[in-house]
Amino acid sequence: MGDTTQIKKLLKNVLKPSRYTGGEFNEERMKGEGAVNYCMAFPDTYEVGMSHLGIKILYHLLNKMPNVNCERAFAPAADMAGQLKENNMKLFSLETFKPLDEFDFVGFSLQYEMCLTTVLYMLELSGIPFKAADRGEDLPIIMAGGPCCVNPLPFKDLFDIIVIGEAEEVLPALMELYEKNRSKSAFLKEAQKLEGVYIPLLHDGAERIKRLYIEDMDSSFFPEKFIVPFTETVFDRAALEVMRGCPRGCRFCQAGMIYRPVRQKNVSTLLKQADSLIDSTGYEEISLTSLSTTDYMGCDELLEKLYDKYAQRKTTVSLPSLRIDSFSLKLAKKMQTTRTMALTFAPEAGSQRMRNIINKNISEEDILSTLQEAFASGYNRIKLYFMIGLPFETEEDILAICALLKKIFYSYGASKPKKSLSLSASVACFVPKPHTPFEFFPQNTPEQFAEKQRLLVEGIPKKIKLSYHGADMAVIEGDFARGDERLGNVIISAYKKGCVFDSWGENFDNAKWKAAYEENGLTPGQFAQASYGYEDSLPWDIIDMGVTKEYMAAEAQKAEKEATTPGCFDKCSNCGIKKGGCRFEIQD
Amino acid sequence: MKYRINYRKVGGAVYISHLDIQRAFQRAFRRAALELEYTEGYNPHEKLSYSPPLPLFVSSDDEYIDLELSGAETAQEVYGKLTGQLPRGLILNGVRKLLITEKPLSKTFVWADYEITARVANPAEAAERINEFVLGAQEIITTKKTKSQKEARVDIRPLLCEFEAAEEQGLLVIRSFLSMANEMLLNPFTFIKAIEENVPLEGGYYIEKIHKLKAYL
Repeated sequence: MGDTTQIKKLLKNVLKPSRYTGGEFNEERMKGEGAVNYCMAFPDTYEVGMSHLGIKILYHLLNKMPNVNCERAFAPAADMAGQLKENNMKLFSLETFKPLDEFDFVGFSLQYEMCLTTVLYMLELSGIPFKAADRGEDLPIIMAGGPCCVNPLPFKDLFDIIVIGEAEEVLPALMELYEKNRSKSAFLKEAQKLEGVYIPLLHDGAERIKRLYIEDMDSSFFPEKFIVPFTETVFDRAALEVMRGCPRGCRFCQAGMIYRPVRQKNVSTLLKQADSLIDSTGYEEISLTSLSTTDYMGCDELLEKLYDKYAQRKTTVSLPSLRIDSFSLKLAKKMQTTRTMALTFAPEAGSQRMRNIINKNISEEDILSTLQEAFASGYNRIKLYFMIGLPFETEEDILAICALLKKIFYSYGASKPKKSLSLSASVACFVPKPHTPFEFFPQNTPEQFAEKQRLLVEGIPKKIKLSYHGADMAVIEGDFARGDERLGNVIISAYKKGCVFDSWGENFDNAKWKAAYEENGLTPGQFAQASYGYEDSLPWDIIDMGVTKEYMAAEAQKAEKEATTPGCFDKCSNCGIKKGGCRFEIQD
Repeated sequence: MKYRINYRKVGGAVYISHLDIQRAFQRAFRRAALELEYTEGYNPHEKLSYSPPLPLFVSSDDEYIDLELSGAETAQEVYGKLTGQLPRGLILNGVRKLLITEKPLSKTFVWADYEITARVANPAEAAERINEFVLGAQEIITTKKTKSQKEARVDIRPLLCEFEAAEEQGLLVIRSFLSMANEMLLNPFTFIKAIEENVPLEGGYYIEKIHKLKAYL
């Protein structure tokens, strides 16, 4: 337990103090002496971290263990960090105000590349040295997990343990192991034998680490209750994960590859889980989440049953993202969550050629007819997502984005609607991610991105809202996605120059990052822009994701030929995921 | 059927803003499976009203919420359903049925009885000086931020009564009724600021605790 009188003083001088005090409904009670103490650390603010389903599941999973306490810590805002430093205090947990350096474990969830400087910020505020090699026996074991760990090399020096894959599968085993063996060095030696556990300081640099995943989502742990934050979070509703993985196989999409195989929950499981979510939280909205919820096979049935159940209780059901097809549109209409009459779709590319290359299996006809249907139903606010900098992209492909937008915009008037159309397009700079078919290809340079953005600005009428970001952050992201251990010191240099909360666009300072690279003899973009042959060894080869490199190479070659691959639900493409893990595997 | 809920806001709950308290109660009502009445119209919302906002860092033994349920539960039933559904630091004092003749919460209260505990260098002497100043003052002028974020001069003397400062166990304790009347709400922090400005102490005031004991009709 931390010094509460001191902490009370600090809290008077910060904005939104409830972000640091815990005590929310359904917060877990801590066990007494002798328990293993784990701190679930999220390298972003409370509002962002508490929106994340994964850490909530792990939090309750660990606290369910008879001899484990799991507490939470988030990155404090600048005012709180200032108060801590001024008063010589350390970052503390929400549950018992315990300083982070007094825990047995501090586990960071790495959801995006640009959170790494914020990890250092939290370590520094806790008085914990950055590098695993500099931390003694009595300092906590610092862990990392989350999707960034599919290429752990850029940050491997920071962590004692990096968990590859779905942590539910190994965290309890790690806790049990530590309970029996509380010497850090001896524990790490034993922990190394577990599947999915990468211990950089002990690893020989060659042995492949196998990614862990839950095989059966219906029997996997699901909390009976969830914490209900006081302050409004980014995602402030109940999240019901209907499936993990995505059957689509878009070639640019990392999530689509690293969460294979597709694992769907049964409708009956979901109805039970929806009940425990709603009953334990009192949320007024339940969102059916997954990478592609309208692909979930029980979608119609589930929605029907959820309505029947919740209409009386004024609980709304929502879908976070829609595909461009009339089935999705039908669902959207039915749900009436679109009171604002806004729809969001992601064609990703403008030309058919490019959509074939990325294996986004929708035609221009699909897009236009779905939108016609939407307009006819009264929708007048449409937002479309695109990417630029995709492999094999030409000037024509960029101009095709402009052409498609114009076509959509001018097709609106056909049915003589009362309201005018608000059409907006958000265009992102593509980052080729490891463990995707595009892992071999270089990212565009900032100059290439800028030229493509110029074409868009010139080619899109002012009546269509165009939004895009500078390419600088995408380049750093690309480096950290595709780079290697040489980047470790860059994170530290960048942090020392003042980089923190980089994922919030307004905090990103490219000049500081550039200087941090230079200090370590590197150039921004040198990893992102690397080009690999299909036979070359890749920095992230030490991670075995289940999907084979041969499959990635085959998909990349198909992309080159503009050939498409059917989704998992249509035809198995033999991606390499082991039998038993996938219901749609090839049967010989 | 309308009900009036009376609750305490203590401990860690003092860090929760008024807006967040509202959300916390709305969710507690849903967990408790209390069927609230909704307003008519395009964007229906629950029929709920709250006693005037309590500032952040202030605890209270006497806060209120009025709600309207579609059913006709007894007050005892409402209490039974709701208790156990509230987060730490929000504690039910009681629930009663509301008569249709009763005024809404925003027009019900006139005075709030506050106790303010401060750490000062010489509490006995400070208490004496503060008593002398407040009880002798015709007006107590201070500034406060208006809704448009401008500084406005206000006389808070008519907004307080039953004032007494005393030394208790080495601390300065100020008891006073502060106005809770509609449009004349006196924030305890504005009140303390006025005292600090008019009776400056060497070493200043360190406010340990601000607690609202009771709201009066």
